[in-house]
Amino acid sequence: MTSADFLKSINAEWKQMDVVPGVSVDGARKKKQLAVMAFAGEIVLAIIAFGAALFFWSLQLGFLFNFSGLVLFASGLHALILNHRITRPVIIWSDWSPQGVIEYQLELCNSAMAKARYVIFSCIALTLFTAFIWIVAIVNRDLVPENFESLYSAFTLPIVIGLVLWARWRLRNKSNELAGYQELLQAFLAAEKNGE
Amino acid sequence: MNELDRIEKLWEELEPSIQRMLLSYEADPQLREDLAQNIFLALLAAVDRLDAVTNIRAYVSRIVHNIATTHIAKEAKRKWVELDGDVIDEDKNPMNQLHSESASNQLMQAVRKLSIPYRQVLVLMLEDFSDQEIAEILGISHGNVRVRLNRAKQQLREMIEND
Repeated sequence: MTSADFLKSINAEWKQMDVVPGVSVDGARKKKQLAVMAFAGEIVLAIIAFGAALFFWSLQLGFLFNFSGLVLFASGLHALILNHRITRPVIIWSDWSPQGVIEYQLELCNSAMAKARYVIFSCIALTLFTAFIWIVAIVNRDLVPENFESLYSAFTLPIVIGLVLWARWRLRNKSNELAGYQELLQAFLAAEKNGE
Repeated sequence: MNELDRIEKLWEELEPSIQRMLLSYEADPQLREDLAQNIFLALLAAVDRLDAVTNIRAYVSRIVHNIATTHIAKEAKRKWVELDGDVIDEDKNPMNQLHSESASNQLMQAVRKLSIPYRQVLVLMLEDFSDQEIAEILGISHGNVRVRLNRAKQQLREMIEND
């Protein structure tokens, strides 16, 4: 079979391919709603952190309360900024080439992994700060209001455990994704080099 | 006509081509439906730009390939990996075996074995795009399209003849 005949035959076969028509418009709408809800959920978490910070400040119970409020406020603010930078970007797919998309996704993936590592680091810092409150309470009870260390731990501990589990899952997921992007980028670069 | 109606009409017109292109990337019907929904949403998000587009088919194809390429990279490492880490052959998946009843499956399986850069040019050629259009869709030079296309055809022919 000549090259032209081969092309003609695969061309005809391609056009006769069985395809299942129809896209679920409702499914697409639900998917969009889920993405909006996930984003809204992250904003709600940040608002909770801001609210808790304001509550701690409003009590006017001294340095530890004010500092704890500051830590919570900074965490909420930082979470908002990172989420806006990493999870919010809207890709206008028509503006990219496939290789450009992969390079961009690789960059996003690295940012998301950096964010997950930062979350783990923040959790360690928060745990150390909580331990510090406990030590101060044990050494000098007068410096720490009654039950504050227990209340603060009850507030931070579930957050720390949840965030660490999420960050570890995210890191594992993203490192798999990163490997996929790197592999594909190599294929694109090789094809580009071979075509020169 | 509202935005949703406009995109639905466009989808209807281009659907066979979109579905064939998706089939070259993804064998699993459920994941393909997921991809189709992402493309539909991307078109809906870009509806305001459509009036300025001169070649709507090429424009949509670019979106299809960009979304599908991202999907391939994301799925590459976790797809068909069992708990013990063994990698399952995609074509042995029961869902795909259903599809394997179709006549053109040998061609599609061979196309799926091509590396993505070669697969993309070949699929676009089979969808009747000119070399110039393929270069614009993929953001590569005309010369690169020719080289990739020749290699893709050669590899495809070898695979089909050796089967």
